Amino acid sequence: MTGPEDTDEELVRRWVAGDGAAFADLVRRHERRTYNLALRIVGREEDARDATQEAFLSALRKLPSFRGDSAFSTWLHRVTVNACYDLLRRRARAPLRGGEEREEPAPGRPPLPDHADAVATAVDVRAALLRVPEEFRAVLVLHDVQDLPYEEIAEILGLPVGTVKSRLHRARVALGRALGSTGERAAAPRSSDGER
Amino acid sequence: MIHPQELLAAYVDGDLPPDEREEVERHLASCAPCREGVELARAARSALRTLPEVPVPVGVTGPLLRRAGSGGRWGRAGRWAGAAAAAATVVAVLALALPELGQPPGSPERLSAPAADAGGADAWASWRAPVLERQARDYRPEDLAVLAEEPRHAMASADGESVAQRPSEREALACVAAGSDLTPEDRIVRLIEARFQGKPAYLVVAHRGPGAGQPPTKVVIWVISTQSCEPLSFSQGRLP
Repeated sequence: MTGPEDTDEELVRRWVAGDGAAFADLVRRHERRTYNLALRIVGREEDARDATQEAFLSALRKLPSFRGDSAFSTWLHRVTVNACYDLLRRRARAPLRGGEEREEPAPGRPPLPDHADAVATAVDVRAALLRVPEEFRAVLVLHDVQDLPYEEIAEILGLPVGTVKSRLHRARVALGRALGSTGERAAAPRSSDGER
Repeated sequence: MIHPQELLAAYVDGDLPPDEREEVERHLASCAPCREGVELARAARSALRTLPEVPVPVGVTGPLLRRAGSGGRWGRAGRWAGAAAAAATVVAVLALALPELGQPPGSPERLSAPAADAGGADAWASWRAPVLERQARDYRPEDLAVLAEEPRHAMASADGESVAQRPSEREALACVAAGSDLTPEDRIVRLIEARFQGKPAYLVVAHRGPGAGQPPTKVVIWVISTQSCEPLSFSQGRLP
C-alpha cells in the first residue's frame, strides 16, 4: 500500500515495476498543483482541464524513461508547461471555438461581500497575466504563484539561471504595466535575454 | 549604462546579499527607467500573490476512472473487470495515451487487445456511424485540427443507421472500438479510411458531450491503425 511516507520517486519506481496504483497516487498527489500551474498559464478553466489531462497522459507516456536526474515534481512541472505551450500553440493555429475569450469564472463559491475587493483584484490580475507573453508568463507563474526557486525554474524550462532571473524581472515589469493599463495590450518585454 | 537585469528580480524579492543590494541601489539612484521597473515589478509580484489556489474541478481526472468503469474500451474488456479502481485509472489513461506509448511496463497486452477480446458481444455493432469514406490521402498530424474544422461534412444517407448490416463500417468500427475510448454516446460524424504518416488508418471524427444527454462540446479525432487496431494519434478541440 501507498503511505504518506512514500516519496514520488518510490512511487515512480513501483509504477515502472508494474504497480498500477502507484501512478494514481502520483496523480492524486500532484493534480492540484498541476492544475493551478496550467490554469495560470493558459488562463481558461476549460483549457486548464485539457492541459492537466494532457500533462498526466504525457507523463504516463514518458515515465518509463524518467531517470530521476531531477526530482519528479520538477519533471512533472516541465511536462505540464510543455502541455500548456502545446495547447496554446494549437489554439493559436486552429481555434475551434468562435467568439471572444471568456473570462474564467471566479473559483469556488460566490464571493462574500467583504471579499469582493479581493475577488475583483484577482480577476484583474488574471486578465493582466494573460497579456504577458507566454514564455514570460511561465516564469512568473512558477516563481510568484508557485513559489519555486530560480534554480528549479531553470531546470523546468531548460534555461540558464541568469536568463530566468532577467526574464522574471522583465515579466514582472510587463505584468505591472498590464495591471496599470486598461484594455491596452501589455508592452511586450524585449525578448533578448541575458543582457545586462 | 549597464542595467543589472539579473539582480533586479532578486532585489524585488529581497533576496540579495548586502553587497549586491548596495550595488543595485547605487544603480537605481541614477537610473529612472530601472526605478520605474522595480516599482512595476513590486506591484506585479504582490498582485500575483493575491491569486487564490483553486481546487481541481470535478472531472479532470475523474472521467478516466468512470470511463474505465463503464462503456469504454477497457470497461468492456472482461479481463480487466476485476481490476482495482486505481489500476483502472491507469488503464483508462493508457487507452487515451497515444502514439509512442509502446508497451507500458507490467502489462504487455494492454494496447494490443483485439476487438474480439473486448467482451460485450460486439456492442459497437449498434453504434451509429456515417458511411465509410475511402480516401487516397496521406494525413499528417497537423491535418487533424484542420479535419475537425472543415465545414460540416454532408452526411451520407446511411447516417443514423446502425452499422450491423454494413460490412465496411462494421469492420471499421470494430477496430475503432478496440483502439479508442469512443463510446456509443460519442456521435461519429466522419469515418475515413486513408493513410496517416504512411500507415493505413481509420480517422474518426466524433462529437463528444459532457454526458447525461447534454449537447456535444468537443470534437475528438482518433487515428487508428487498420492493421493492428492500435491508436496512432489523437486530437481534440472545442466545438464553436
